[in-house]
Amino acid sequence: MPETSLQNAVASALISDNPDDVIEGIKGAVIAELEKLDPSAEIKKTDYFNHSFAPDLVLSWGARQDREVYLRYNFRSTQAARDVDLLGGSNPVFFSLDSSHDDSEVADELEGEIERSPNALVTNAPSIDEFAEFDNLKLVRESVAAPLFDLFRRNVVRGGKGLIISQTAADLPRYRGSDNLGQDIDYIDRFESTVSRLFREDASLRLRRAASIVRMARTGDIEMLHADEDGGENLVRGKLETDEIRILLPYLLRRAQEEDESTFWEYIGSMVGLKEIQKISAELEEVDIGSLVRANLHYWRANRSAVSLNSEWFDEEEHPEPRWYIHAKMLTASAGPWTVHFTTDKRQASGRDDSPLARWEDLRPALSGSAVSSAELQGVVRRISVSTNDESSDVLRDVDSIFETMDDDFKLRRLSVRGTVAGASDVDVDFKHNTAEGNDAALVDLARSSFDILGYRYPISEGERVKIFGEQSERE
Amino acid sequence: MSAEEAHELGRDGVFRVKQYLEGTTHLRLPWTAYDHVNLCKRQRLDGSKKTYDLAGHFLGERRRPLFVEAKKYTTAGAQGTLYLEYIADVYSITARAQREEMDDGAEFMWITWHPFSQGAWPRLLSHEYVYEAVEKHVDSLQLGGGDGNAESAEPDKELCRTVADRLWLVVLTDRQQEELTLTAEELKLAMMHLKREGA
Repeated sequence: MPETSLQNAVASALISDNPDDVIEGIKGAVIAELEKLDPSAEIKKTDYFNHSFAPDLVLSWGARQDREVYLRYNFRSTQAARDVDLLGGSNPVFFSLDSSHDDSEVADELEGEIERSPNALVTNAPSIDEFAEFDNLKLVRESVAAPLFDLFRRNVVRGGKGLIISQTAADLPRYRGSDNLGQDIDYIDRFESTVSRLFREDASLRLRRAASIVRMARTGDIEMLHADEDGGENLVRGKLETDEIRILLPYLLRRAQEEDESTFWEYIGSMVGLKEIQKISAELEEVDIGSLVRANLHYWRANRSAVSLNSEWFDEEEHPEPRWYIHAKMLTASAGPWTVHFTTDKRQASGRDDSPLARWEDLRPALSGSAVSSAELQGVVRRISVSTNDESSDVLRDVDSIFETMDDDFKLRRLSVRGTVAGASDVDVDFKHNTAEGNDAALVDLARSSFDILGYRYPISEGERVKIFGEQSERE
Repeated sequence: MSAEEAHELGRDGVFRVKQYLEGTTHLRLPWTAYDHVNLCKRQRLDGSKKTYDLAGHFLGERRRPLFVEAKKYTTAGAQGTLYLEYIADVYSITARAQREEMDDGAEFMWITWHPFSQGAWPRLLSHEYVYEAVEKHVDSLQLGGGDGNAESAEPDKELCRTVADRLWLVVLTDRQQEELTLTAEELKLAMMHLKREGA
């Protein structure tokens, strides 16, 4: 059996005559390997090594998600010690370090014990090495195999069960991905059945959900989503974990087609929030996230948007397409000369504080579609605030009268616009800082306040609106 | 049953002993002769190495190394004779360690399923018994250091006392281990919480 890097490290560690050095060397090598496999795991060393009862490592993934790891020299010793029967109750991992003796023979003998503790994981260094060397597999990045195998190997130690040795997941690692739809579907099928076999319930569910998502994106067939709405086959919903988002989203977005149904992107958006998008900003640089954002403008919430003017836009002959993307770790939209940053953290996107206030006659046309519930007017001599408590009325005509009847040069300092999505907050538009804010504002409201109201001086074209707001956008 | 019962413990047996001893919570025995033979060896005066079934150390204030010789006999067998040889080895190993100024206080344990040498039983851990054992093996131990000096071929009484302090003798039965100890889950909890020094 060819030696693996982990096995080499273990063999080197064992050469030492100093027991403490041996233990440090072995644990260090195993930890390095596990970190490669699953960067999201927090790994804690215990004070014990090869102890009959105390684990060598404890891995955790957030609160209440722990898994103990027992390092054993080989399967033969695991069997002689009846490890799985004695310790399998808490569903730990038994990790065999050296596999120069053939594990698969002894593996048969472990079958009985494994059956009695079906959620424990018994695995060895060569298997783990194989999964950890993911990057060397050279999977085609756009293929279905890439995101799915990445998720598979990240979950092996966390959610794997039973015996996982090299032959176990035989088919999976070898498929590099292709343009052939049939082969891809075949891979996804095999992935789903392998996952059911090799992972505990919760992990298996998550991985199969990922496989469904990839399948929908690959085939364009979203029957499953419609069936779910009609109370049909149960589709797995719920929040995607950060790592799942990190791996799946870039893949899905790169494959996004113009004609993709928004139903699919709404489904994805229901499992991902703005905060998670911001967390994976590194993976989303350069990726056009328009399909996802447009479908979720009415569902996603944010706290603030800040508008800035790109003055070079006026001199450019050709302008870049309007788009949604991540910039400086914030969701960003560009259309016309405007760039708008959205955030859930008000400390980001602070906005300037030297913008000219808006003149009422210039701003008025831009407000015709909005329900303005309050306005703050700043004149040379006076400052006037107008607001209404009545949810069905707005203050536009009130401001009109003030403007017509009072003799002062009034400019708009602030105004509030009612939220258009049930449950979402109103949006406070600030002309001095060029920001729009709300405690839990719908993204669509912040976007409209930014482009239509704060951007009143250079309104964006219909064509540009479609790229930002999607086909259904209507200037009411 | 023959007078000399096979005493080969086998892998299973060694692990049972490991489990029993680690289950006392006072010991860590990570090394077995099957998987880590180098760490289960100690060197005698004549340079040869003696391999023990298990090796590790005590937990607690004094982190003394421990080497374990395990004998699963169904009769007394030749244990009496073998035990004498075992003690002579301990003496030789300790003598060498002291000579090389590398004495880490290593202790040695004989653990068996069958008592032996009943006449001498109360003395089996005494310095007098150590003296007797060494005397019987004077030639093979090369006590004189090979320099042919007949005078130094006598066991050192001080060293015999030291060795006696480092000897352990344990008798075990299967049922004792299976039913008179904490369960594996309980022991796991205990070890994770006890925080004995030297762990």
